[in-house]
Amino acid sequence: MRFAARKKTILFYFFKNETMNDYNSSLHIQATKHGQHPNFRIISFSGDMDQVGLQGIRDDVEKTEQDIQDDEKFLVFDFEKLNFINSEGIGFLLKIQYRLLKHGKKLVVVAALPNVKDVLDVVGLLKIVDYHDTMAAFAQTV
Amino acid sequence: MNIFLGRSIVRRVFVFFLLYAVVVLGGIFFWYGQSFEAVPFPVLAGALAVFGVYFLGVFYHQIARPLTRILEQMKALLTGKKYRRIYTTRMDEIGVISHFFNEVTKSFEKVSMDIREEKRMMSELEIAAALQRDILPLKSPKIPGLDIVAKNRPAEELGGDSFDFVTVGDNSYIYIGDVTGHGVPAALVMTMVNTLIHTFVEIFDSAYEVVVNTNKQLKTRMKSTMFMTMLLLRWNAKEQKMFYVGSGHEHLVIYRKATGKCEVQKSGGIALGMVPDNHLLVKEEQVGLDVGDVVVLYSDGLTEGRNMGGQQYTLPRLTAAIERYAVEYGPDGIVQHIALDFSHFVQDQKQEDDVTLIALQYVGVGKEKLKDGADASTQWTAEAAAPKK
Repeated sequence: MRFAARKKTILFYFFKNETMNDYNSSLHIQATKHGQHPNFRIISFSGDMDQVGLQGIRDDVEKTEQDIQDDEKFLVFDFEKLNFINSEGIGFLLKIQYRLLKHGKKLVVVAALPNVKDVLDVVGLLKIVDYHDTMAAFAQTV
Repeated sequence: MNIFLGRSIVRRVFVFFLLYAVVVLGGIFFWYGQSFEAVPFPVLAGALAVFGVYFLGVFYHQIARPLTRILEQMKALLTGKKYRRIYTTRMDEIGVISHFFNEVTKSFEKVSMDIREEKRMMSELEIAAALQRDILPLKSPKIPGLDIVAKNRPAEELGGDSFDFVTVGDNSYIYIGDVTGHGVPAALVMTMVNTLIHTFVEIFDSAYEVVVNTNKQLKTRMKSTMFMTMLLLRWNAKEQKMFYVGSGHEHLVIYRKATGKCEVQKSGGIALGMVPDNHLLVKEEQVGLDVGDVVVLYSDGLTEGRNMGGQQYTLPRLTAAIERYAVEYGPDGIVQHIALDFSHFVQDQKQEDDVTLIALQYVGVGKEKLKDGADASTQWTAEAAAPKK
């Protein structure tokens, strides 16, 4: 291990580590764990859901998705702090919904800002993904 | 000892040479009574020979041979031949040179891959542009009872707008669509939808059937994250009735001549490619039209076009512009003035999405005014005013 660390030091001395850059993700997530809620998991999004933002969170969302247990029927996306979504984001939601449906789970979206809800509504996504104005409204249904 | 010797092979060899010299030769010196003359020649020669062999052996094995291997790969790189990475766990000078070589070649490979990738992408964009150009109509159509003007302004990089006009018997179909993504996959989806619509309008006489069947065929051939919004109008020239089916596209705008105001209707439905079967999620609706009313179709590249200050053009600005220009102009004037208006709004700000605007005015059969000519071109023009009504 020491040698590996030393190797990195030597390499860094000559070449800047290529993972160091000025890129800051424009989208962040926070996920609940199994057991925090009776039969659903929540992922809260903040920022902009576009191609750049998605790059930073795709893997983490997938990890949470794969961690969903049998007793959890819903994956809830809390969009209260989501400022923006475009077609990339909608494509991402579609993919998640299909994967969940295959395992008998469902995607739910809650608390979207008016501009975000409008985009989801116009494109027709809300015809295939459940939507609730608040988390409380959703929680009452389960 | 390790701290003193550090990671330098040169230092190690030098130190061992010194140690050997001091310990062995010094030992011989003291053994034979502190006098070199007393040392028998064979002993001295033997000691020097052992030292020589050991030193040369170590030097060859630890320095000369590895250096030769590194130089071989360097020569191969410099002469454009195939080279290999140098695998070593050494941390000394040889290790540093090896890692340096590996990093340099990695950078070379990345740069040359980036150049190749850019060339490939440029040619892919050219293919996509050609595919898109092939399906977009060059001229606005002649449809009994309607004056139609369509304009399209492609983004600098390919956006996803498509539109077309097809007349089969009494039905004329007009659609505007916007596919997600860019490049060849988007262009292929556009082409598929265009072909499917052209095919199904020959088989069915309702926009609903066309949309449902187009979606069914498209979904099986499309990536799960791609979709295409669309608004399909069906104008029946015999009945003089307008119908539409929305598939997740922008609102439908209808300018009413009687009131001088625009009505904005959600076009509804769900985008093509989102579900395998959309027959319960889309429907054909009728639009009641009076003579003089204008139906306006647009893509989000227009309403979401930004100026230098980051403001969007927006739907209210569009409807205000339609209300302003429809008083004096027909669809050609409306479209040309809105095109001018939009261009003035965005100025030099680069637009990342295609802009499409289609205006259809119900004028009554036999009363169509628009003739062939420059007006009929679907190319976006932001120049001089169009002729008044």
